Amino acid sequence: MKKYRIGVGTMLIVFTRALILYGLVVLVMRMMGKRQIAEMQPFELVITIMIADLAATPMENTGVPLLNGVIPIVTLLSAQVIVSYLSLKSETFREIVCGKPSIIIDKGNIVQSEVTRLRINMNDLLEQLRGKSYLNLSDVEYAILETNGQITIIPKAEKRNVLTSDLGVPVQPEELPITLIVDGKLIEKNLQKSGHNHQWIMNRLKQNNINNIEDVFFAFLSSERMFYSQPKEKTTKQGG
Amino acid sequence: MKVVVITVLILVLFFVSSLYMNHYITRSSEEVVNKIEKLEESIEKNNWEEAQLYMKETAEEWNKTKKVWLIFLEHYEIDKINIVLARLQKFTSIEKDTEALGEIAEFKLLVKHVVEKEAFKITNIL
Repeated sequence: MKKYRIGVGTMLIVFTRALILYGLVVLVMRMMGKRQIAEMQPFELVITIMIADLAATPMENTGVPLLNGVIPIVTLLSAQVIVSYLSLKSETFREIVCGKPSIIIDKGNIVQSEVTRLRINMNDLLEQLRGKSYLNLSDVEYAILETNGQITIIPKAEKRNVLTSDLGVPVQPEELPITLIVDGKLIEKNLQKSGHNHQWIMNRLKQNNINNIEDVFFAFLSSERMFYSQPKEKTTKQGG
Repeated sequence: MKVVVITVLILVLFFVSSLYMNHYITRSSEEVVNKIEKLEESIEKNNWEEAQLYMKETAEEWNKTKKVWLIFLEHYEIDKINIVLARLQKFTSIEKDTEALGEIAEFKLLVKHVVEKEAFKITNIL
């Protein structure tokens, strides 16, 4: 009986620690800001991986105090936030921490000194160009290696995609789409932002054969200010 | 900006708490060691009645101290001290002076080791 109680206690301890550390990591990642893995600076990626590792140790080892995980995670967060803030305020600091973007193709010519300095071989460069749908080096005017390792391509003028301004076609300015109903719940704030009221939305739903807001799975106002809605799927009981 | 301010506040709070904790660990370890030194003196004088009294006080002081230490320190260090204390209690109760004095020496070393390990020194950082 005693052994059984000790086992359950350990399981609950591990469960509680895992929940606490999960909450902490979510909070820390939110505070660090919205960046996808592919857009992170190298040091930001390393910090993210370190945080993951630091959270795992106190989860699995109950002999280690929880603070041994919490303190280094909070320390890394503090360091990351302060470094990001200083990078924002000081160009010199940013150059030291993140480096500078490098021009590797300039006016259609490969900058050989930069390519050698950055240890990029031609195959890697061509692979990156192909990844951006530029099959020929001769189509590229400028290629810039960004600080996060991505390459930005500026094609030659005659090789770039056609823009609406090239066609001289008059276009309406773009608006953001507005989500109005999600899973049967009306988002009041967005309805007000769209400049419409309940009566208007009910009329629109009735035109789409929907009588209640609760029956709507998703409804939104598009960039062209057209109303779209999709009803929830009705589950039907099948006879045996 | 809000995040930067919160972060700096967290850092300040952390530094203040760690200073306080360090001070608490030093002070509480000194109290435990004082109690056990009194026990040591009693055993050396073969005054077992007094020794039993100081043993009880040492155990109480340690139980009070470890509740806080368990939050901040690794449990295996505390577990080692608990084991030594258990042996010491037994040797004191059966009046084995040699063994008890040996356990006392080990107890003092373990407590002092915890304090040294928690000190902010270059040897602990590297």
